[in-house]
Amino acid sequence: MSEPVIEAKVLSKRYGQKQAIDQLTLQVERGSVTALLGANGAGKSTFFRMVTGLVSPDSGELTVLGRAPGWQTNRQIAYLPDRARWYKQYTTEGTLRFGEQFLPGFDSGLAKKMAEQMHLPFEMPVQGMSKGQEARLMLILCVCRDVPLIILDEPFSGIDGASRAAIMDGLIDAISERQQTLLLSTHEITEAEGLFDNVLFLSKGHLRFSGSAEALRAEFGSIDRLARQLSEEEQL
Amino acid sequence: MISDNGKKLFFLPLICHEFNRKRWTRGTGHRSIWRPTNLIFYGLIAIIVLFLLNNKTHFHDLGLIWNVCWGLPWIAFGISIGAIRHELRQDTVGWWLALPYARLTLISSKFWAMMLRSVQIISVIFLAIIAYVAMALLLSQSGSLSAFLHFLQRGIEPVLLDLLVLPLMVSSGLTLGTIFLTRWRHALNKFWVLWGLFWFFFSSFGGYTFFLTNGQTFFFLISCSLIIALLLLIFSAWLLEHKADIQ
Repeated sequence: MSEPVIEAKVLSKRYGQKQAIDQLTLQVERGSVTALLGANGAGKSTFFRMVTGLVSPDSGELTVLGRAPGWQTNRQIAYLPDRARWYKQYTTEGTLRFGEQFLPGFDSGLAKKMAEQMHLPFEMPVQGMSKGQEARLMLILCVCRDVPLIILDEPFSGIDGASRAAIMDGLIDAISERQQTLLLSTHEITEAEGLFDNVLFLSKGHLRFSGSAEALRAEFGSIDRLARQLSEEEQL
Repeated sequence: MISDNGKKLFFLPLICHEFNRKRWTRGTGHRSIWRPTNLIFYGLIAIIVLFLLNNKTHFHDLGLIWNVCWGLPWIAFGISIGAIRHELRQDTVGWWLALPYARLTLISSKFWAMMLRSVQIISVIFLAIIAYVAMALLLSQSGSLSAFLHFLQRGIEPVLLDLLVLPLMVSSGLTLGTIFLTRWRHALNKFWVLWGLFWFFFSSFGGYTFFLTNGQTFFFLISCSLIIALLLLIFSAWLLEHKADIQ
């Protein structure tokens, strides 16, 4: 295994009474597509927020691209936050200009091409767009960046089937052209599992299971089946 | 303007991004219906007040209108709290905090944007008052150019004071808004009690009068407000860096 792009050692984070991350130790392989799976409240989004420096761990050690996470490392990370919405006053055009102005490595040519492929209206403000269109626009902001690490937290959440397919196609196009690490969380495992190289299962803030997607598929038939099995065991 | 490794200038566009943000209300038709309705409503209120003033006082003490200025810094305070809280309410806080810029840069861009917004609001109110009074004096039998100039002269001090305390009010609002993003938000109810008590005692012991009548203290107050504003911005950046608690 090459040098990991993310390395967490005995990481813990508590929100009041809730232990969001509990002694979490994991590595994310460079250049891979890694899925971070688990039920709601398993700690996936908290982990992503730690990786992007939005929250600090209570204890443990976390390195991202070889250093402690913070605004400096965010220059090299494209991050789609969980339940995120985009600024309502922006049009597609304005959003691409935002990317160009503020997001290092943003390829506005590629972004424009993707926006056309995804049938996004250029003049319409986000306020008038459907949730699917808004989600596609936010995805473009992330995948059109030439950065070593892309993090997508539930990119398909609340999106209809057609938009989901468009997002998936956009994702495949973008990552196949660059040597980037893609770390994503999703509950739509059946549709997305073809993308995965590695899988990490979180449960109650700690790592329950990890392995290569290929090996897990060979053993359990599909990642989705394994996820359901783990979820049932958790409920018992 | 700050240079990002000498390649891109981003601070001014960041201020523009913050300045152009509008308060978004759920439901697309909301703005378009209420804006003209509000305009008509407040227009009618202004005309009614104008005629009542004319009948009752014949515009003898129009200078009282400048008391409006005491409330204007609180508008700046409110919109500055909103500048941070809207990031949370509109689910854009993740985008904002993941921008690859130092927290002090992010908070400073909001500071300048809110300063500009507040100056814009104060200017509009200032012009509206002048237009209103000019109209009132035209209607009045006792209205004259000298009365109008006297009225303007009385307004300079409160408007100037408004502008000078803006940095303090904006940075206080931003700090308070930032606290909502941290684990310290649970202590905010205590803060509001202390805040209320402070202003109660400040006005009870003649704080306003003291600062307005003592020229040297007035400038001392302004210097203090600028220094405190800077310290509050640094404190807010520190809070975002070390105490942010976004769930």
